Amino acid sequence: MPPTVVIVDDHPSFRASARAMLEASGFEVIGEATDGSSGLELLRRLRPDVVLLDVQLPDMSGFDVCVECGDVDGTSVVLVSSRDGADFGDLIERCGARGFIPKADLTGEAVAAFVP
Amino acid sequence: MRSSVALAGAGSGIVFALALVVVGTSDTADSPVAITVAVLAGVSWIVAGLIALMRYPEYRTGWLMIAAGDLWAISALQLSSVPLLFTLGVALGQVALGPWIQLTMGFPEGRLRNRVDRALVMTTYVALIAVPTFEALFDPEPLPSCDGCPDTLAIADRPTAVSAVAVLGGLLAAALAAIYIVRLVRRYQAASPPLRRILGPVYVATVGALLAIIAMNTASLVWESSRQIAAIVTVVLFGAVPVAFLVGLLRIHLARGSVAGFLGTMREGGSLRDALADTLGDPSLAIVYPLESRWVDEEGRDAERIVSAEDTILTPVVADGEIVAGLVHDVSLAYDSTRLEAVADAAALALRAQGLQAEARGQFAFLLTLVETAPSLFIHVGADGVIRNQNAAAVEAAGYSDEEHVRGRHFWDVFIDPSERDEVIARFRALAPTFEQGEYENAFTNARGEERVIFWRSAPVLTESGEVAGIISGGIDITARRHHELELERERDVQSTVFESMPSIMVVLAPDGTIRDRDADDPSIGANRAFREAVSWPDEEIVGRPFLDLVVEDADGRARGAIAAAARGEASETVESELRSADGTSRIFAWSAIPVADVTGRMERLVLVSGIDVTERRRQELEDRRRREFMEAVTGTIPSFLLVLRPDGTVREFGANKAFETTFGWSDAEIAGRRFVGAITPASDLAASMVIAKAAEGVIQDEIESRWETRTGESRIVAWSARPVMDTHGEHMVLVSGMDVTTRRLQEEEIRASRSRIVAAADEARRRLERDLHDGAQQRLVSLSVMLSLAESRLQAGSDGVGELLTGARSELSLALEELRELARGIHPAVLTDRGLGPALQALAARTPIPVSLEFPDEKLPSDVEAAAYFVAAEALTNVVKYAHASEAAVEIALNGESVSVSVRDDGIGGADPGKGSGLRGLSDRLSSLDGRLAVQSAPGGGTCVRAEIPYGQATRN
Repeated sequence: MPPTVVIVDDHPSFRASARAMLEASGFEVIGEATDGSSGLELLRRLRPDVVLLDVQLPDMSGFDVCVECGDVDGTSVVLVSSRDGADFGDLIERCGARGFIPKADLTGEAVAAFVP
Repeated sequence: MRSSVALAGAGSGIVFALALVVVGTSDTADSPVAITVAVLAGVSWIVAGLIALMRYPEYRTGWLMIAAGDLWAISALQLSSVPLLFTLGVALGQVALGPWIQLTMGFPEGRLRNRVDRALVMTTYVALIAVPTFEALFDPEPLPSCDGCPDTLAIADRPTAVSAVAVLGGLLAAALAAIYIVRLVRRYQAASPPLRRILGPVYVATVGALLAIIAMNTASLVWESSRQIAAIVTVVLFGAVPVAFLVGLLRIHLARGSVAGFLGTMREGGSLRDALADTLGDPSLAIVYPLESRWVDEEGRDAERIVSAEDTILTPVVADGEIVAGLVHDVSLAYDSTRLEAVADAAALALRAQGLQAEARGQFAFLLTLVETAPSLFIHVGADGVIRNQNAAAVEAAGYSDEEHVRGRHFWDVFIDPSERDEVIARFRALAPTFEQGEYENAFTNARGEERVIFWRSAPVLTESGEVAGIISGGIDITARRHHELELERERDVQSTVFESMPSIMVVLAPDGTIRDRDADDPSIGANRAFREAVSWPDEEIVGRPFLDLVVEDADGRARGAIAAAARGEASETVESELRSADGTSRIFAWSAIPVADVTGRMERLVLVSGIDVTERRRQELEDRRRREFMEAVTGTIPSFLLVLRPDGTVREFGANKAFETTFGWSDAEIAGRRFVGAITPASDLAASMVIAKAAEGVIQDEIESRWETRTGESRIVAWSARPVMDTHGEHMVLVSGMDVTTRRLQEEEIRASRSRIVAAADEARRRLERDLHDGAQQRLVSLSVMLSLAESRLQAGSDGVGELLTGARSELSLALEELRELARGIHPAVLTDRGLGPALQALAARTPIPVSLEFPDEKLPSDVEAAAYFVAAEALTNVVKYAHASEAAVEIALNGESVSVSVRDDGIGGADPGKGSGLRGLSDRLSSLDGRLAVQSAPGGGTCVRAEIPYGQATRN
């Protein structure tokens, strides 16, 4: 069965293109959230294999969401941003995410690399 | 006189004859013996009285005696048988005692001397008449032992009354008798021996008789039997008394010699005084002579003592109507004045001669005293130059104590030095024979070796014939004066040296204020060296010139007044004047003028001006004063605060300047004495305390900023420092100087706040930019990148749907470009830079959803002004769109002279608060950086008007 993905990002255009990219790479996008709290709720409910989590969310940062969803086992959190990963330093590791992908470099293989 | 004697004798004869008749016809006559004795007693009185009357007619003595005798005769009427006569006889029986007593008390003249005597005698007479009369009138038989006596013409028979009166009478008689005795005794004791000789017999007889009579009468009252004997003895005694009177009277006479005897003594030679004394019988006699208004003795000496001796009388001796002498003799001589006068007359001529002599002697004695006691020298020199006489002063001046060394010697040997002797002898000889008056002075060494200087004046003494009998020279010893003059001379020399050399200026002026010439006698007067050097005038130019000429300016007349005061004789006050020097400069002197005496005596008074040069001092003072005034002006006007504190940190009196007082509201009196830390800075300000303490120790402090409180409690921020200073009295103080930086700080605060706001605004804008880029264009480009990579992978995989992906990518790209453009416009619209404010506003209006009317000037404004105007409009319109709910808006840009106004109006709901909304705040900051202002009028419901004023000057126009 294909790995499940939830996309959490407030930009619709990115969500659309990310969905297209992921589905073309064999993922199943089972949900989309536009902000951190609804994203968290979705995560707990759907328990996807992967969460594509934008760092800049309207209500909370992606890091916070990651920390919150640390109680959700089996979900790999992949952080994305239009900014450079170097901007975030060790926040990425410390929040419990699996990794970070710049949005411009988003490919299905890149995501899959983080899925166990 | 003889006639009165004859008359008295005749009268008495008749009385006695009548008495004898009575006796003869009397029935009650006693024994013949008694009668005879009685008659003899009466006759004795009469005869004695007649003799006294003949001898001393001027006395009353004679008449009184006769009266006594006659009255005695009347008492014989007691023997009459006729009641009337009998009564009379009884009544007047004792009255004869009256004259007897009167005689005694008034002996020898028979005149009573004083009131007491007169009163006593009067009382006696009254008693002698009254008592027997009473008896006669109230006792029919007053003589109980008389058998054949008739009764009196008594009025009544009152035996008891009569007895009483008799007793009273007896007592009165006793009293009177006692008084009389006492007085007589006293008088006797006070009398001089000659007088006693006269009075003695009379007094003794009277007193004795009285005592005896009284005793016997008293006894007979007790023993009836003795009455007869008593009566007889009484009569006998009564009859003996006149003899005593005569004896006394004769003694007056006997004591005197006769005039003839006197003249005889005179002719024999011997002193006049002795002759007079012998003749008058008064060994104490003295003769005095009149000299001017006093009496002198024959030597011309004052005789006041002689004249005023006790119990003496001075009887003047008159010759040719002039008093030539006075006889000072015993009082008793005065009773024999006739004799006295006769003797005096005989002696008058001789007395006159003696008087003249006495006068001459007296005058001579006076002159002698004068000459002897005068301090001047007197010498009497003969025509031969020999000293005939001299006074004590001359002897002393010659250096001797004994006149023997002077008298008899030539005066040139005594009073002239050997070296001058010949000259003096020659001169003396030359003055002969007239020896006219002259004066000369000579110095010599006397016998004691003392130097003397004598000033002589001599004059000749002429005889009656005009020849020179001698020369009298009077001399004044002027040795002391000469020495004094020498001393004065020396003193003057000292004074002139002092005068000349002292550092003070001295000028001597005549009373008219002109500078005195150097005197030939006293070359030091005029002006001293100090003065000449100070004003450097040569002598020729100052002598005789008025001192005031040298005074530069005497507007208030003080210099003139000072000189005038000294000319009047008063010391003047100290005056300051500027005196001009010859070289054109001037110096200031503090001087005063005092009156001084002219030692040469030519002028009554001179004026001495003395003073010191105070030029430097004055200049210094002026400088100091100017400096002080300058400092005061500075401290008074500078805006900085100046405080002078004492080392203990309290404000000194007059220690705050005007700026401090004005700003902090303390008057000088209120702040003086208060502590700086506590009253001005808060007490808790340790930094301020430290600064003050360190400055008090002497360390200049750096500036610090503190809060200073005004009197009303407001705070001001002051940048101040403190330093140690010394005040004008030389005491250590602390000077605090500060600037009020409150406004500056606030402004700095404001500027800093504004700047930080601007910076914050810029940061904020950049953040927004970043976010906008991130959220907007960046996202789109990211999506675009994903779509293209998808398309790439799909193309590689040969899948379809690439065309849709590419289309989508292109639309995504357009949107991104649009967003970027929008963003750029937000930063700085290109149209503003390229085409100016107008077109930029138009583009702005076009983008605004509601209709916006525009008005703007044609001129090109500076780019920062245009940018500010554009952003004001842009921000305001954004707010209108967001909040105002307006239907339309208006933008108006206008030029008002020196500024540009930007107004944005809308018709919305208003109620905009310029404080809220960072947009307007940011605008405010931007505008303030251009010195512009922003105003927002936004009444609720009334629309909003945002108006900005941006100043711009000519210089910034381009």
